[in-house]
Amino acid sequence: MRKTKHIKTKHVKTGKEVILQVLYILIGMIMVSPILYALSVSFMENKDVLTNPINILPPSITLDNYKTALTRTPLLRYILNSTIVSLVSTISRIIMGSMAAYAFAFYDFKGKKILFALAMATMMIPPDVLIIANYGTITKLGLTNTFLGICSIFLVSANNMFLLRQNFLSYSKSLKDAAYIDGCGSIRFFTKILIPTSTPVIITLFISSFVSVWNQYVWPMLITKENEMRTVQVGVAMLKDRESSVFAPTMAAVIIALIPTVLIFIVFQRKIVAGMMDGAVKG
Amino acid sequence: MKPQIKKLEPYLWLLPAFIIFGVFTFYPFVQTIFKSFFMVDALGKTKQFVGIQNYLYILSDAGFLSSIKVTLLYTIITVPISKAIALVLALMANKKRKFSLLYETCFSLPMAVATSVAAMIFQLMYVPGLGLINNITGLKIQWLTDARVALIAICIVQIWLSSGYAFLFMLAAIRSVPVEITESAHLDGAGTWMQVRSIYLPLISPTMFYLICTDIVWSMMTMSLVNVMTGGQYGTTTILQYVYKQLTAAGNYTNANPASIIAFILAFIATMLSFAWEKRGVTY
Repeated sequence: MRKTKHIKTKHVKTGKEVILQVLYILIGMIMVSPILYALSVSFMENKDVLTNPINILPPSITLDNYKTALTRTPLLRYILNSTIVSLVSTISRIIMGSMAAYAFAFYDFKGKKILFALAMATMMIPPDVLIIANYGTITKLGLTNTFLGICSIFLVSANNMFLLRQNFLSYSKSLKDAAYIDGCGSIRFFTKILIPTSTPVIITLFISSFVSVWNQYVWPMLITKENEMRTVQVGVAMLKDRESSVFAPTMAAVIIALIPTVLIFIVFQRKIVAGMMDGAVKG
Repeated sequence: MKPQIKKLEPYLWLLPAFIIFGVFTFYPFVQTIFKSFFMVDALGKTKQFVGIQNYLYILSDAGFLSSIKVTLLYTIITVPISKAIALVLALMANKKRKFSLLYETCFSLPMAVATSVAAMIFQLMYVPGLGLINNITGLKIQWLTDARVALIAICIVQIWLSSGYAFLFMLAAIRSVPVEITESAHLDGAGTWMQVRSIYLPLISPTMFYLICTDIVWSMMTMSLVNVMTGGQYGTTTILQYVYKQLTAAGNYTNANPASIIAFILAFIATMLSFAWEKRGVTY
């Protein structure tokens, strides 16, 4: 008697769990529905996009939109530009950030507190309020329409520096002293011991930084005048002005622009959060 | 010689980062403040010192005042709603189940979407006549060309974008709440709402604080969604959109500089306010 009752409640419980999971997956689908819809439209013929009743799925599948997106606009060039800008900025952020973090974590020197406070203060100044002055600087340096010009304001991130410092602080100073006595100079300590053992946090920063630079819009738009130098985000947003009613090829371009970040995100999302939580919560 | 170098060493490690900070953050910041007190020509050169005249001028410009209102409204709408949605999603997803990974990825995926891409997709869905949203719901709303709803339409996209991000962080925070605490509360007969209010909310408040703080600054600086979706028409010009327009359409640095500084001051005040709330509401 007791046993059957137990089994029954268990059944009820698993039943409830199944329903919950179905419900959650449905909510998840609603959450990603704009992306799914864009994906679906990218395979539609343009005449099937805005119809009554609306087509959720393509009545007939075509790859023409992708062909159009890739041939009519320099989309591949945009992707290459974005990749270069994101890679250069991210690598620079990690190198400069870890160098500064190394000084802050392992050395005592005059003005350390002030310099650290200054670095952290840059997080309080949103880069967007500085676009006018920075635009002037870049123009004066003759760097408009260059990769260096686009990367310039993304080359260092106080946030990354802060997370790296938190990470380095968990090493004891005696480790460095011991390495030093063994004849290991500080450059060797930095490159051979500190950086290799910090790979988890560096990977986190690499991914989150890459995605965030990839998704930048305002600055690259302001600093590029030539079509050839535009990044994906700017290029995709410009498709709208040119062919405002032709949605299907635009959605194909949107999907192509989405693929890199979505893939990186799906593969690495746990790592990004784990790394960022460390800094946000402990700090 | 050697001890000299040793003393200099930490500064050498800091040098590259501080050169960049200097050139692209400190210098432009000071320069923008400085120039905001001058008449500036279309090439960005200072002409004449006018004190706070520029500030008085833009603060009496109806376009600028409306951009402040729009920006504040945008922040007040998007920040709390996206955090509330994220919290509910995170509480739902707390327990690990067979399909956890699937729906967690769905909940957080919007964070990988760039604003300009999101703007393009929603623009298609917002098409008034035959677009997805009006078509499915039977509404007849001119989403992006009616001044009464255009800002709301843009807020919806922003909420969608930032909920995913907040969800991911809150889920990690909620999962790090020790099981013993929730279990003993459950045995004491605490209902779901009680558990949320007296256990989860206090314990995840540092994460919540971090998210709200960063999102406030982010929302106050918003312009890319607006720029792509309405170009600032129909009552959707934010402060930064105003700055951008002054700069690109008119080459009017005289107005753009003080407007940027006001944007900074507002973001700064908002951050300070959230820090004041941190003292009272956040438990570490």
